[in-house]
Amino acid sequence: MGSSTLGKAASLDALLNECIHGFDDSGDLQANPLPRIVLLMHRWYVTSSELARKLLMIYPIFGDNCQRTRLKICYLMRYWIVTFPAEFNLDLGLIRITEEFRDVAAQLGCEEHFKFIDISTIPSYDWMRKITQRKKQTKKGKASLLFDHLEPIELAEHLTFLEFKSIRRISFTDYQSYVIHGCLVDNLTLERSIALFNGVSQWVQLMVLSKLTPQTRAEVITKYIHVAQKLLHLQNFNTLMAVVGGLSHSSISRLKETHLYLAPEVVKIWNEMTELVSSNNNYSCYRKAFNECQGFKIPVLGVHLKDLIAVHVVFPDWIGDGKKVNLVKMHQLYMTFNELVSLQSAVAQVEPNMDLIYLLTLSLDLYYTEDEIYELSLLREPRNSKLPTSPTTPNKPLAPLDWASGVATKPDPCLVNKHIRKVVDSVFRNYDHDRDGYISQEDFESIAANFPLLDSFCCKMGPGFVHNFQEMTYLKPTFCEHCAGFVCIYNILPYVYCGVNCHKQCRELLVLACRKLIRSGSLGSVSPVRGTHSSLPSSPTLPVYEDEVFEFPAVTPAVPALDTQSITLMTGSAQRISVRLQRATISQATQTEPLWPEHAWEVADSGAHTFPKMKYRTHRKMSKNKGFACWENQSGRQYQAGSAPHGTGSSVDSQEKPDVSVEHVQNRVTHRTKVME
Amino acid sequence: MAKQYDFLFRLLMLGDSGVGKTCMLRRFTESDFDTTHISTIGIDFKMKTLEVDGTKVRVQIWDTAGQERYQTITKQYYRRAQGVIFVYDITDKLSFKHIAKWVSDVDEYTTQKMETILVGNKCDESLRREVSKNQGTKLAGSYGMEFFETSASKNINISESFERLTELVLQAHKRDVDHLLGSLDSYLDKAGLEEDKESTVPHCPQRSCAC
Repeated sequence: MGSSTLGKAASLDALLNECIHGFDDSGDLQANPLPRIVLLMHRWYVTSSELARKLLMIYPIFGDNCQRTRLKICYLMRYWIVTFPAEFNLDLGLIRITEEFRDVAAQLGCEEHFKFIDISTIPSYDWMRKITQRKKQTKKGKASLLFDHLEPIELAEHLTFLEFKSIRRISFTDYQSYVIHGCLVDNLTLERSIALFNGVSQWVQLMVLSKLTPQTRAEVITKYIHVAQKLLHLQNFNTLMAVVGGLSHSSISRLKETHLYLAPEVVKIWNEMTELVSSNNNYSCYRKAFNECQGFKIPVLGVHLKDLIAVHVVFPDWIGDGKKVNLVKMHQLYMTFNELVSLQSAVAQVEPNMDLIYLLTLSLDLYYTEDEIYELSLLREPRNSKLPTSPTTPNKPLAPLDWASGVATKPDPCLVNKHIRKVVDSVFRNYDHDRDGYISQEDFESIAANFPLLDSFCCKMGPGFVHNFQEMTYLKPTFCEHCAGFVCIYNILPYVYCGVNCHKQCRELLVLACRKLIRSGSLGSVSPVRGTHSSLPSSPTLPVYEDEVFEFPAVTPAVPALDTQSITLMTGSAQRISVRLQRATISQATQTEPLWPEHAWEVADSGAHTFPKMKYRTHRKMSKNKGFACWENQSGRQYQAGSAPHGTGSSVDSQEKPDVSVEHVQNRVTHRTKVME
Repeated sequence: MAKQYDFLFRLLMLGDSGVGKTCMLRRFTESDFDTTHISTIGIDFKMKTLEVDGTKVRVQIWDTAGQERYQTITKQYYRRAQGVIFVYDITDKLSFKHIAKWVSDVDEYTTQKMETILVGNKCDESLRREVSKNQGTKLAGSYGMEFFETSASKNINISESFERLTELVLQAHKRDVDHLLGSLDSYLDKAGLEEDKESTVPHCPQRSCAC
C-alpha cells in the first residue's frame, strides 16, 4: 500500500482512484504496488467485469479539462491487460466491457487512448480452462523408460514439469473458492494438483516397497533422496514436500532393516530435507528458503493454502458498514496470492521428454489406501515378534469405505485410460526397435517393473451378479470394464468374465451385459462357430484356437496359490500367452476377501516384478499387422480390431521373430464353463 | 529468562476442511493473537497459556486447515501431538462420517499415547443441522471420548473444549511420569504406556453443551 493515504480501509472507488493516480503522465507507475494489488485482489470482492464497469463509468465523466485523468484510466487499463492477460482472454464479461471501453474511447475521439485498450494480441489462455493439456510430440529421441536407469535429475526435472503444468492451471478463483468454502467441489484444477501431490508421495513409498530386499529398498530410498536434492535445486518445493513426505511416512520410516543399508551421508541429506519442510514454527525453515529463492520456484501449496485460510478467518473482508475494503486483509492475501498466481506467467525451464512424462504420469495415477501401503510395508519387514505389539493396531476401527470418495481423490478412469494409452505408445516408440508392433519379453518385463502394484484401483465391493470369473494375469495394460480403471500389467489378478475384463474388486459390481454374444459377433469373420460358449475349458470348440489354448501340465511351484486359475499373459499390443491351469473357473468372489490378496504378494515376491514364472509354449501365430503397434483399445472395445488379422495371421511372421514369445489368444470365450447360478 | 509455564503440550485439530477448525482456534486464542505480527511466518495462532489446577500449561495447537487432503503433510503433525480435537460440522453429515477415518489415521500413525475429544462445531446453525447431538454423543462414546458441541462464531464451548483436552493431557502426563519413576526399564515403560492406553481412556459421561 506504499505511500497511500488510504489507511486501513477504503471503498473500491477510492482504491481505484488511488490506482489511477498512481500513474504519472507518461504512464509510469514508479514502483507503486497498489495497482497490481488491486487488480489481482479485486476478485475477492467484485468480479472483473464489475471493476471494469466502474472504470468505464468514470472514464467519460472527466471532461476535456481532465484529459490527464482519462489518460491515466487508460494507463490503468493497459496495465491490467498487460499484467493479467489471461483474464482478458477468458472472462467473457470483461472482454465485452473492454470492447465497450474501446468504443467509448473512439467516440470521445481519443485515438491515443484507444490504442492502449487492445486485447487483440493476447495469446490464448485456453489451456487454463482445460484440465489436461496435450503437448505435441516434438522430440523423437529414445529414452530409457526404466526407473532404475533414470537419473535423479531426470526424474526431478520431469516431476517439476508435471508439477508446474498442474499448479499453473489453478486460478485465483479456484484458490478463492477453496479458502472460502473449504471444499473441492467444482474445483478440478486444485483437486488434480492435490492428487498429483499425493500420487508422488504414494509412488515414492510404493517404489521403495516394491523392492524385495532391504538393500534394494535402500537404493531406491537413496535415489529419492537425490531426487529431493535436485528438486530443491530446481526450487520445486511442492514436489520436494511430496517426496520427503512419502519417505517420512511410517510405512517407510519403520523399515529398520532397510535403514541399516543407507549411507551416513544419505541419512544426513535426508534429515536436512525433512527439517527443511517440517511444520516446525509454522514451516519457518521452508518459508525462509522459499523467500530466498530467486526466479522460477514452486511453493508448497498446502502451506500457502493454510495461510490463506488463516488470513481469511482472522480478518473480515469489509470494514464499517460493509462499504470499505479491509486493506490489511487485502494486503495479507495479496502476499500469498502473488506467489501462487505468478506461476501462471512463469516459464518452465525443462524441455521434457514426453515419453518419460507419460510414464511418470501413469505411475502417479495411484490410488491406494494408506492401509494397503502399510500392509505392504509390514509384509516387507514384519513387526519384530519379540517386541510387544501395539494393542491398538489389531482392533482399530475400520475406516468406512466411502471415505475414499470424500477425501481422497480417485483418478478419473478416462484420464487414466488416456495415460495408459500414451505410455503404451511411448513404450513402443522406444522399445519396438524394428517397428513391427512387438517388443521383446525382456523389455516388457523391465518396463513392467516401472509399475509396481499398479492394479489396485479399488472399487467398492457390493452386491452384484454372480458370474463366471476367471483370474487372468495380464502383461498388457488393460481396462476394467466396470470402473474403466487400469487392470494391471502383471502378477495380480484381475478377472475376466465372458470376455469382459474387470477388476477382482469390481466383478461384483459389474453390470455390463454378458459380452460374449457381442464378441462372438465381432469375431464372426474369424470363427463362425464361436457361438458355443458353453464349451468346457479343456475343450475349446474352435479349431482355430485350439492350439492356442493349452493345458498347463503342472502347477508352477512359484505360484502355488494360483494353481486353480487360468492365466493369460499378454505382451505387445494384442498378444497374450494363455496358460490354462488345472481348473479354469473360480468364481464366487467373496466380499470378505481382502482387496489385496495375500497370494498376490507372494507372487510379487517370487516373481520380482514380473509375472509368475511358468513354462509356456510359444505359439507362432502372429500377424505382422502394423496396427498392433497401436493401442488395442483404440477402436473402443478391445480385441475386436486386432482379432481378425490375428486369427488369420501367418506363421511366417512369427518365424521372423523368434524372441517374441507371445501369441494372440481369444481364449476367454472358451473359458466359460460353469455358470454360477 | 524464566519459563512462564510448567508444561508445554501440543494439541492438534483434525477434521475435514471447512468444518471450522481455524475459526475455533482463532476464537480460542483471540486475546493472544497479535495481528501485527503476521507478515513473515504467516499466521499461526497456536499458543495459549492456561492454568489447570494451579499448573501453568502452555498449549501449542496445530491447525491442519487447508492441508487436510495432503496426506503426507497432515501426517507430519501427528507425530508429536499429545492431544487431538476431532472436529466435524453439525451441518455437514459427511464431515461427521469422516471422523472415523481421522480417528483411525491417528490410531495408526502415532506411536505415542494421545488424548482425544470430539467436537461438533457450528452448533449455532440449528436450522441447517444434519447431525443430531445424540449421534455425536454416541460416536464419542464409542471411541471413549468426551464430546462437545461448539460454535466458533457464537463462542459457545470453545474454551471449554480446549481446556478439557488440556486437562486430560495433563492428567495423562502426570500418570506417565509416575510410570516412568516406577520403572526405568524401557521395555516395561513401553508396555506400561500401552497398558495405560487401554485402561485409562476416559469413559466419563458426555458433557452436555450449552446450546
